[in-house]
Amino acid sequence: MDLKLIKNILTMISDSDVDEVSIEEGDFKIKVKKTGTVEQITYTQPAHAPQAPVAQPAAPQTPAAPSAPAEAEKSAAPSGETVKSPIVGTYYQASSPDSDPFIKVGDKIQQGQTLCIIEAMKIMNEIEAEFAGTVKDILVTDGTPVEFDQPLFIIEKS
Amino acid sequence: MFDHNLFNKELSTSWLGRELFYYPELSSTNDHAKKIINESSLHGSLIVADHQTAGKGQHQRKWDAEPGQNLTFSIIFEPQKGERLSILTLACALAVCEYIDENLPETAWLKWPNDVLIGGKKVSGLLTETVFKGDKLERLVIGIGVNINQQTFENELANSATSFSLLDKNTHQRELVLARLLTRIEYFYRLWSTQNSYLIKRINSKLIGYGKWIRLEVDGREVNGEFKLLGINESGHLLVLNKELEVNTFSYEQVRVRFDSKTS
Repeated sequence: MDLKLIKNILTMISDSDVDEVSIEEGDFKIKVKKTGTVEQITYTQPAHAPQAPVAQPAAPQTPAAPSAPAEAEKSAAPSGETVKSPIVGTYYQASSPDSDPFIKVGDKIQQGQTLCIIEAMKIMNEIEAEFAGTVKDILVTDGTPVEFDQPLFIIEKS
Repeated sequence: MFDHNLFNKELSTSWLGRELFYYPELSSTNDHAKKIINESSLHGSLIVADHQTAGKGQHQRKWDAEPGQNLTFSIIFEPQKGERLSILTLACALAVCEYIDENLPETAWLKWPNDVLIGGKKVSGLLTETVFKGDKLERLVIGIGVNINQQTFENELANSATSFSLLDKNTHQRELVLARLLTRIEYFYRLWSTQNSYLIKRINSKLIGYGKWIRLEVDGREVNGEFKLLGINESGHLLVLNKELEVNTFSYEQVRVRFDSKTS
């Protein structure tokens, strides 16, 4: 398995308008499918390959199909600014499982207020509001993986 | 309780720890470091508390420390980019490791991604937190706890924690330990910010299980077979070699390392 090749394929597809690609070369077979903003990757290896763990340096840990929230929300949601994730990690709505969420839909928020925590490599990253406003929508579920630039919230500036 | 004169006399850094905020008691030095407001840059500032009432460990586990016996402090960094932060955490842990190796009769090891162990017992733990405003990293806070003079550990910690004093039967001056740790951390920060690969090599050489055959749990399931631990790469991910001589890379979220009797 050539990780570099897989990475290149992923980059190529995300940069293109193509939604699905299958490549077969000898006993190497790869199929990449783009659903919304998240690319899904499946590939098969030769039968004699061991039950090795699947290294996924380039492929995101595919979350349960968050299908292009940004696109869908643009038409449905009221006008507002989209707050996107600055990093790859796991989204948490509260500082601990038994704490109240940092924000709820309808909340008025201040500039500098903590919106959520994104954990990556055991590092807790607090995401603060860049501007004051009202929370119009929360586009992610507690405890789920988020990608770089994935829309997290819709906030209407006040 | 914290001897500022002794600390200042020992401090030989050029920028790290030159601004010191000391508190007899704080809920958590990290929480304070994230919130503290200052007109000018806080890069290199130090928050020290003799007692943390809500010290945080991994997964919000409480880190219990006897007041005034240990070092509990946080360093504020303001790096240009929010990348490779887990390497910087490990670099700070490495500083603790190397201090122990030079000053105590024991050898310390790094447990990926953020603990320092001696003989399998934890002597130091780190917790890194950041504050982003939008997509811009505003502040990086590395919280470091080192067990210095604590004599007893209660309950589940009794067999899993140790301190400098328990290892060499001496009392250590915390101010002196802190000042000397900072010298090393400042040096490692320079290596980290210039992406010097020597830092990664040095971290890997102190990593528990480095070069050994280990077992892995990936996404919560134990994987058949053994893997040779190759250390961490430039982004802080774990590299392993499988028996087919393929290199696999894992993030902390994906993998747990298991040491069985053969590798310990």
